[in-house]
Order: sequence, then C-alpha cells, then structure tokens
Amino acid sequence: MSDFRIVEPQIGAPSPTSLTATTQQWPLGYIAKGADFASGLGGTAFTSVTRCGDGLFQYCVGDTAGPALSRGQAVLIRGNSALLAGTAQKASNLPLGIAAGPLSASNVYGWVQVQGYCDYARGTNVNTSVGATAFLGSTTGQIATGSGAAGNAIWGLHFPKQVTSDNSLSVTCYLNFPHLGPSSAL
Amino acid sequence: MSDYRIIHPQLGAVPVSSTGTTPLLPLGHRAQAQDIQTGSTNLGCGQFLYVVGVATGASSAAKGDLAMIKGDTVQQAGPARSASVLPLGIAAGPLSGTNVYGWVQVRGLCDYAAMENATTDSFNAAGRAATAFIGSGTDGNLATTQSATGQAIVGIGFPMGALTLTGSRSVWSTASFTGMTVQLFNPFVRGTSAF
Repeated sequence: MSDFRIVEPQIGAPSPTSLTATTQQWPLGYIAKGADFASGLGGTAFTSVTRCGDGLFQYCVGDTAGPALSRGQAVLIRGNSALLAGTAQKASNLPLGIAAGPLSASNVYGWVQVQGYCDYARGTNVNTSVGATAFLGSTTGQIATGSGAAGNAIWGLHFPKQVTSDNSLSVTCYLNFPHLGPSSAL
Repeated sequence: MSDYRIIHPQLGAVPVSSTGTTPLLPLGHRAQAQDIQTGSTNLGCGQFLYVVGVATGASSAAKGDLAMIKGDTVQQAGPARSASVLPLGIAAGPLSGTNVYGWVQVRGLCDYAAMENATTDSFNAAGRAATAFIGSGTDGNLATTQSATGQAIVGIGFPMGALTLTGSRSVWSTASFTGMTVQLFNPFVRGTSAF
C-alpha cells in the first residue's frame, strides 16, 4: 500500500496525505505534490505497480451536503469541498478524485488525490481488466467497470493493471484529473 | 471579488490581473495562486497559465472573458471557434495585444467570468448538472444553454447551485457584482460531433 507524503512545496518532514485535521492548514484548492514513501522513491512500470511514485493532491474540506467520507472513496470536488460520489451525481460534470484520508465532516480538512497512481481506491467486487473504462459504482464512493446508466463514465481514470477487487482499499488506478463524462450528447 | 496572487512556484504575490509588454516568465508556465481576500467569499487556490494576447480588434480577451488557448496565445472564445477542441480558460487580466503578457485561469473557483444571462440548475443530490457552453452572442461570454452543436464545454461547472444572472453580462469591475461563480478544471471545447 502506498504511503504518499507531501514533498512540495513545504520544507520539513513530509506530511502523510492521509492526515486530516479540523483546523485548516493550507488554502483550500491548493494542489501539492506527494511522493510514495512506502517502498522508496520512484515508480515502476505500469503493468506491475508496487510503488506509486509522484502524485498530485488537492486540499479540500468535507462537504456539508454529503455523508462522511472514508479514505479511498471517490469524491466529487464541488468548489473546494469533497462530496461522496455515486450514481446520484451522474448528471454532474464536476471533477473527481480519491479521498486520501477520511474527510468525515464539513469541518475536516485533508487531501484528495487528483493525479498519479493510486492504489487505495475502493472498487466494486469485480474483475477489472487492464484499460477498462471506469464508472461510478452503485455503492457511493466506489469505482465500477460497468456503466449502469449514461453519465456514470469517468474520464481521466483508468486501470493500469488487472485487479480482482473487493470493497477494501485495494484498487489500483491511474488518475489524470478525472471528471464525469457528459450524461448526454451535446 | 477574488484577489488571486501567484504563490507557487515563485514568491512575490503577483496579482494575476497584472499584464505587461515584457514577458516575465516562459509562455505556457503554469503557476498556482491564492485568493488573498478575507472573509467567506475567499475562493482558495487556483491555477493560471502565462500567455500572450492577440492583436487588438482580433478578439483580444478582456478580463473575465472566456478565452481559447491556441499554443501560448489566447483570444476570446466564441461561436466562430466552437469547431475547435482547443483548451479554454478565463482571462485574469486584459490581454489586449500581441505584446501583452498575462495570466489565464484554468483551474479552481472563478468569480469574474463573463456570462450571458443565465440560470443554473438548482442544488440537488446529483450535484450541479448545468453544462457550460460557449455563448452564442458576444464573444468571450459563457452560457448555460446551447445554440449550436459543438459549443459544449468540458471542464467548467457551476458549483454554487441555483443562481440567476441578469444584465447584459457579468461586470467584473463592479464591486457589488454577485454573478455566478464557475469551477474550472482544465476546460476545453467538446467538439462538433458526438463521440
């Protein structure tokens, strides 16, 4: 499992991205670079991800309208707040990310990963092929490989290796500033 | 009104609305800026690209205009350019000539975007459903209704819920302006055909 820590721009001991606090530490919306400290710096070939290398993380606060978030859940970034993502949001076109820590209330601040390898996303209990299209899962916060309904498709998130996921923090995906695809032809 | 200033990677707190006729950074440079206004309307952080304008009178972008980023130059977006799939942003300052350098916002909350009269969808559990479009009238305007295929924008959302904007367009220089706030996430024109 990755151990992302913020390495840029601040000086000092790298801070784990999973940390949350009820006191705001950074400007909301701030994007910082994190590096995976789990197995040393650097990444590996995408077919055998064991280290995640660098990633980008956006500083957010839990959304007042959504239920509590757990680490690894897919979230909709609404303004500067993180809202639990699910099929109810299929009509939205706002950006997505993976909560790096439990943004469990509207006064809890923390990080959402928006770019780079992520090996702690929550998935549905399916076998996921390399390169499969990602969709919002029927259970909120989960990523699925079946569409369910128009508008659930996620752009900017793909699976670099095969996974046989369950609901644990186990799905490896690559994030490239994901967002929901349009729900209809325009 | 927001008061974004560049904070990363360089220090100095340069206002993103600043422009100049001498390039200060490499074109295409991406920097992060923090809104330094105080109070509940603070927008947090956003990302900005350093760009140059086009000739005055050739759809040069004013502050708040929806701008198309063509290489490292920007010009007003409009219906005539809806067949493009180039990236978009909101001009943070008046990029009023081929020798005028400045910033265009590409990510984060933006409260100075020029818009046509519009009403966004009301808040609901589904988030914000309104799609952003290139305006069909004045170049540089955003819209929430589509007048022709190809004007849909991917990467601009309306995070604030139901709001109605009246008047000819939003006026960024009016202190009392309370127009729509848009959320930018590296927007681009979706293109003229369904795919």
